[in-house]
Amino acid sequence: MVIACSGFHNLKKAKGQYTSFGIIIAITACIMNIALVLAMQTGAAYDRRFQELNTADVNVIIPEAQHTASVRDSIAATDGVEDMEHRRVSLASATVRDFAGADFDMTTVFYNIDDPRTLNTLAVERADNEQDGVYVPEYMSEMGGFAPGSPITYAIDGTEHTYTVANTVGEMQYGNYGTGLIGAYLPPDAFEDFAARHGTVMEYSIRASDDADTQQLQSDIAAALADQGVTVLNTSNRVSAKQTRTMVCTLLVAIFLALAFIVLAVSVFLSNFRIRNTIANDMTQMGVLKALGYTSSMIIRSCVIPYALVGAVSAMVGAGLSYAALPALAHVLAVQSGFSFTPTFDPVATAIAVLAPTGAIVIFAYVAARSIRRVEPINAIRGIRPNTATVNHFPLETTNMPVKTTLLAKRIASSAGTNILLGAVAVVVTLLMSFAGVLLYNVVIKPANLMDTLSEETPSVIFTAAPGKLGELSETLDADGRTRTVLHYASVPVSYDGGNLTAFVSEDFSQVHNDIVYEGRNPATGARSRWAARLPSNTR
Amino acid sequence: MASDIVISARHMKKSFGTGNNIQTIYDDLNIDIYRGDFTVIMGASGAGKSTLLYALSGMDTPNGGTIEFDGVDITKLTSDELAVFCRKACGFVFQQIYLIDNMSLMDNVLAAGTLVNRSKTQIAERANQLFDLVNISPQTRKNMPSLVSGGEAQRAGMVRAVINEPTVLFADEPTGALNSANSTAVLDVFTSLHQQGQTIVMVTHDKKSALRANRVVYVRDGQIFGSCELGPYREDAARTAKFEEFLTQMEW
Repeated sequence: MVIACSGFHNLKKAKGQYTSFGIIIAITACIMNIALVLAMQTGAAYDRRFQELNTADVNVIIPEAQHTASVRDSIAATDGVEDMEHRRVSLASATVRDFAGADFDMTTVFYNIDDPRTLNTLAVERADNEQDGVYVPEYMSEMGGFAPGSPITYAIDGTEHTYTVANTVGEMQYGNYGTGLIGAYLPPDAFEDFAARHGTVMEYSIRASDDADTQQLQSDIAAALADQGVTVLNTSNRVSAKQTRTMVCTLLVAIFLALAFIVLAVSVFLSNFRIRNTIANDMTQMGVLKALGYTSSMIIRSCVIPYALVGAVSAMVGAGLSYAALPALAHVLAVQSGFSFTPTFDPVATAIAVLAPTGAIVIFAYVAARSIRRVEPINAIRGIRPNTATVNHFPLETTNMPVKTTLLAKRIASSAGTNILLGAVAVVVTLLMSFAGVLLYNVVIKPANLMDTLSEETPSVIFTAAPGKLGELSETLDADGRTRTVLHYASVPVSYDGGNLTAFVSEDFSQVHNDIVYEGRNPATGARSRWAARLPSNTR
Repeated sequence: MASDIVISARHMKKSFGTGNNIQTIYDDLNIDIYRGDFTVIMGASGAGKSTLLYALSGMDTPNGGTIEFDGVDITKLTSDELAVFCRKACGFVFQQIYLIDNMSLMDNVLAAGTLVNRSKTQIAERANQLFDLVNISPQTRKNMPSLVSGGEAQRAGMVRAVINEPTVLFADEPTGALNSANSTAVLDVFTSLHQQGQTIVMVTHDKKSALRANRVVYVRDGQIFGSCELGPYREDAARTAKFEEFLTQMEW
């Protein structure tokens, strides 16, 4: 009780100091709780939704003409395939007009929304009047700004198809730009109309058995199809899709955790410094307390209790406040991932977010306060400090310097340890500030520096030419005195084993200035090779 | 004078410094403190009066010898064991008072009182009795140390020192920082406590303060150079003369 009172008195004595400390801890706990809740709930929510919609583990698209019983049997016979179904779809390289204010190239799979599905089911509320409508995934509606009722135009092979967004579809097969494919779901008549213009392909949705490796299964199916001479137009698997869709969230969690760690490290350093200061300042009182019969551990506790108390309360407040920020953050993540979930109170995450900073503070405060054990009451009362100077640096009598300079030198020499520590802190802080300043300049004020350095020259303007108008656009741009360089390229979806990406194809890459050169030895041939960066144009 | 010994120091050594810079204060000092006595330690400046006081109380550790306090060799105790031992055995009054500045006078007393296992009511009751004894009003008891006079603070310091009914009350120049009126008030409290049976060991260089004791020991050259039995305190010219004569013998 006495210790608690003494701790409380310490708390009252330095309210301002503890307030600033509490704010730092609250921020730490807030950031940490956000990171932990997202880390613990995003993946689980994704998997839950995946199960709810009975999403396929592997999807393969092949030409409709190659869809035969033999191919179907071949896929079904692949080890690890538990269930499968197929449907007619239309695959198109589409440009979505006015996607968040710009044209958006995306390989799009058009579906008949009424096709029966047992795998890759959709969560959708059908609109009353959907004749000219299209159902779009969350990514399109949230990121692209296509709310229900708004028009959406797909430009495909020179034809523009304009629909009204009937509603948003909850699906887990595709998701966002990173997955390389996106779905669009048309009512039956609209689909047939679309298919008549652009043709159809066959999509196989495959459910893997519980013990199957999804990515291995995808490779095995691709190999089986290749053996039969079947062209795989596109293939995807849920593991890659999940990684892609949750990538920003994972990155955000890592950044938040790193940030929380840095803030915590700063607060630990501050509390340590303050406790040492408190001990130095209150040395006499501690000596008196010892003389009265207080043990060292009792006095240590009275020093640690205020920090533990402030740390715990602030961490609870910070963790609590994080729940106010989480919905907004989850919305930001939903916009980029095309998958929305509502973070809920997570006792484990909150317990960690409260206990970790509080525990760290208590441990470091205790370590700092342990020096109280060395306080001898008699010395404390007589004003003799531990580690007091024993050497008279720069004696005034003999030092051949002006008195003021000598006094300054004396002061510096008498607290060499503190000065070295302060110097080290100043160096680290200056380094961090310089790094942050340079980064801020290159991200906010002159972002081209960073982007150009990382890969290639960033275009100032991107134009998508209408069919047959490329020559005219090229001439216009070349004639414009403000144009420095023009690169003509086409966006092409490329599938590879385990994923998809969009590649740029150009007849003349000499206009591209890449700054990164990868060099190494080809593991197959042993020959040295250079790849992808500022190669002479004739080696492309 | 009671005859039983409460503190007995034997062959006590105490020195400061290291290497070639060692200053020896005591080399082979022996002293007994008797229960119920008001013992005053006097000596020239730098003679080691306070060092002796703090060694006898266990607050400072001698370099050699033994100090038996109520049968316990306190030189063998660890820091924490000594702290626990001192809660009941020792009370301290310092020259600079050293009340804890963020606690009221009453809280300062209770903070010491609650170290001994008693109910808060009992402690508060005794604290109030002691505050009455030292003539500190109920209102002043609630004041912070910075808001009371030096004399009031010192008297509160005395209440804190005796709240746990210590075996021995140690005082280091308790009137050194007080004016004449406050000194007298504080000394009156010491006398009153002594008359109630409190054992007191006090360091002073003030003759007026020393006269309150029934026994005066004089420290010189690292030894107990002499001691004088004055008997119970009273305003008595013969007693004062005896004391003066003792000091003259000690070449004070």
